[in-house]
Amino acid sequence: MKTYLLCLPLFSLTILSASDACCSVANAGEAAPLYSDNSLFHLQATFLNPDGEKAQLADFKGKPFILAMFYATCPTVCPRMILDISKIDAQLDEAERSQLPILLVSFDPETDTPEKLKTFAENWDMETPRWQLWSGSPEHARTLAAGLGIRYRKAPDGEISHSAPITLVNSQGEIELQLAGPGVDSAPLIKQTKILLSASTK
Amino acid sequence: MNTKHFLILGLLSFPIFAGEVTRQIELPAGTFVPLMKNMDAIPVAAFQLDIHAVTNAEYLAFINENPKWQRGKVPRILADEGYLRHWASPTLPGEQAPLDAPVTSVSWYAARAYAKWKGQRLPSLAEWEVAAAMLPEKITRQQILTWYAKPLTHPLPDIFSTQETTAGVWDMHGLIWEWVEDYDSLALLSRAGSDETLSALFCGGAAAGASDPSDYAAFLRYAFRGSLSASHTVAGLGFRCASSPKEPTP
Repeated sequence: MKTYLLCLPLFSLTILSASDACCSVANAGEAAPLYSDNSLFHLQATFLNPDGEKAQLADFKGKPFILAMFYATCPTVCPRMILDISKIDAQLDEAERSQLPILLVSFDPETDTPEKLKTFAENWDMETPRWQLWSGSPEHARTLAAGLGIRYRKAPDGEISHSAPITLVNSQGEIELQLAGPGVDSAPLIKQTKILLSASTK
Repeated sequence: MNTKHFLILGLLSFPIFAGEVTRQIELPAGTFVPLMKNMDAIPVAAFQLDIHAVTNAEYLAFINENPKWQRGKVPRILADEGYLRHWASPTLPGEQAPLDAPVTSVSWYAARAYAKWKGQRLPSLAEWEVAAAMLPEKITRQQILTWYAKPLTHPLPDIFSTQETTAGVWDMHGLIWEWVEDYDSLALLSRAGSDETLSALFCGGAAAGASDPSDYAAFLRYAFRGSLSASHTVAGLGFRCASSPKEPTP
């Protein structure tokens, strides 16, 4: 429970009692689950890539990748976050880079159509298709955001307030490491990315 | 499982539960004024809302048609270990989960999956708050606070056991907490993307940043929602469904 809830002085909030049952074990005779319990690949979220083709996170199964959410008209946080990802990318050697997809998914699919994202990628001189920019439905954007622990709110004027973590996802779709946002020391993420890439090419 | 359980199971398989449709009330367009002063009012279009929270019986019908949402089959990323933990078994609510009581201990993903199965959706936070504010005059904020302060009893009371809003929606306060689609969207204050709102409101800054400091129950709802993650399950947290008016066919 986060600290601000603990700050509430008045109420016991007894409904927040601890859970006491564990129930994720597959029944005998059932096939082993396709993904681990904490895999983002379980999320029911489908997107469109810049070519307008259907895409989902599980398409990356078997390889690590960097994942972040953004929106193309963001005036502040997203450009800084994308710059940080570019710097992380630049810290890898060419062989490593070639094995590392970088996926940016839009919070604002109603505005960020695949065509607009294609232009956005060109304007940013992103190396496509290794860098992929996806759009989808508001419902699926929120599904992914929830899985990544990203909070966002679209104001009536269209501006989106959001947290902006940069996430390293491993080959099984699990969150390996997450930077809280732009400006955070990226050395741990770079180190872990190199470890995962090394393991995946063996 | 004893004879009584078999009897209940037999009753539950009767199609009345699977075919039952929760009645929805249409609520007119309105405006939601967020608790935080620095946030713009949010226009809310007309929408339809369930008159009661989803019950254990209704959720059982969902599970029967969607076995992947049975307790024990849901991956942790979609629901934590408390998922339906008070049910007697994965397919039997049992004594701690009366059929007409609201289903609780369900995650946001599970609530959404149910709503989708019904061809509906979860209400937005703004929609839920607009609906919850339609209280009859006899209900005071102090009464709402009293409800919030009261520890939950188990098993939970049935639906239709608290108050009806002026629009005809039941149990918005005093029975359970409820998931909304954008449950943590107001946990953001600055446009720079930091999570400052709740700490500013509840840990010292308190009412200074609130548009209506006397609405303490709203503080509680915001704090509670802001503490949640989508996979969380809580003993007193359930949901109801909403839908948007169908577009007229040209």
